[in-house]
Amino acid sequence: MTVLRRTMFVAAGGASGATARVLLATLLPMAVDRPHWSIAALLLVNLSGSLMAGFLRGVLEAKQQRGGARVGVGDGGGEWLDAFLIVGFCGGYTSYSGFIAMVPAGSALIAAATLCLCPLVALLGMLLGVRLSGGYPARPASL
Amino acid sequence: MEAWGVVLFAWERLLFARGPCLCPSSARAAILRHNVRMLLAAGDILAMDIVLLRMVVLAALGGALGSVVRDRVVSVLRTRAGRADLGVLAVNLAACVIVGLGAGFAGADPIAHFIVLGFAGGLSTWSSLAVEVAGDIRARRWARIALHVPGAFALALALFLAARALAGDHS
Repeated sequence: MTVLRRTMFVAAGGASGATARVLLATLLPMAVDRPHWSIAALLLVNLSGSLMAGFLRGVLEAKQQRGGARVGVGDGGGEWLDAFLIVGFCGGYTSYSGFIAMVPAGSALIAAATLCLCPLVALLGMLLGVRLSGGYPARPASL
Repeated sequence: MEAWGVVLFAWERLLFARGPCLCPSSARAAILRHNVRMLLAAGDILAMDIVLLRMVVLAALGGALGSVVRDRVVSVLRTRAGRADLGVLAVNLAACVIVGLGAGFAGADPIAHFIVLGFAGGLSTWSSLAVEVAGDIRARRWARIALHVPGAFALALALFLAARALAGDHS
């Protein structure tokens, strides 16, 4: 995949991810007149984004394990999944800076939950993605 | 259910605002007339909606730009140094500095929406960091986990507070 094509995929994913984040973590709490809920909303956004990215990375890993040649095109299949969904959408959807900016104003519990749960949820998603795509040798791809 | 109404309305405006470009000019004029009638009928609700629409569009543009910069930085560090995790750390810390400096802007400022909500939000990421740490957990690289979970958090918070103090906002 050329750099230009990858950049376009990442930009499209980043724009849609950022839109989804603003709608869920900024506008929704504003619309229900509870602006302080945005901290909890951002926790949910970061958790769901981490889960999704972990899952997709697991799927990609399983695909690479089986050999990408099955997809047909040399670098196709996995590349757009990585550029558009993992780097673009999940990356634009989740936010580290938003989380850090909310820490001084928010509760320590939510900060600790974000720190501990995001990597664990990503690990869970990754294992789930690998398993469901039949990546492990213990589980044949035909099943 | 008003909340969903506002969110759906913002989406509809987002699609609607881009739609007329594809229409012939007569249809565009009809849509404009319809818009003006709506504006007169709905009063300040639609005015608020335009602010929301602008906010979403600016955040999306900033998010696209931030994501592209993040992808470039992470790609360069992955190919040159073989350490994608350091790229993620670098963009996250840079985004925290930007957000700290942007704290000087008022909350409703369009520039703040573009830079803080869009660019810094798209530049920083939790998902890539979480995936890197998940890989470290699987490979049992405890030093890297310590660097990326408590280490990055302390560094980012310190940088954010320092940048905010520099920008002159002590709220």
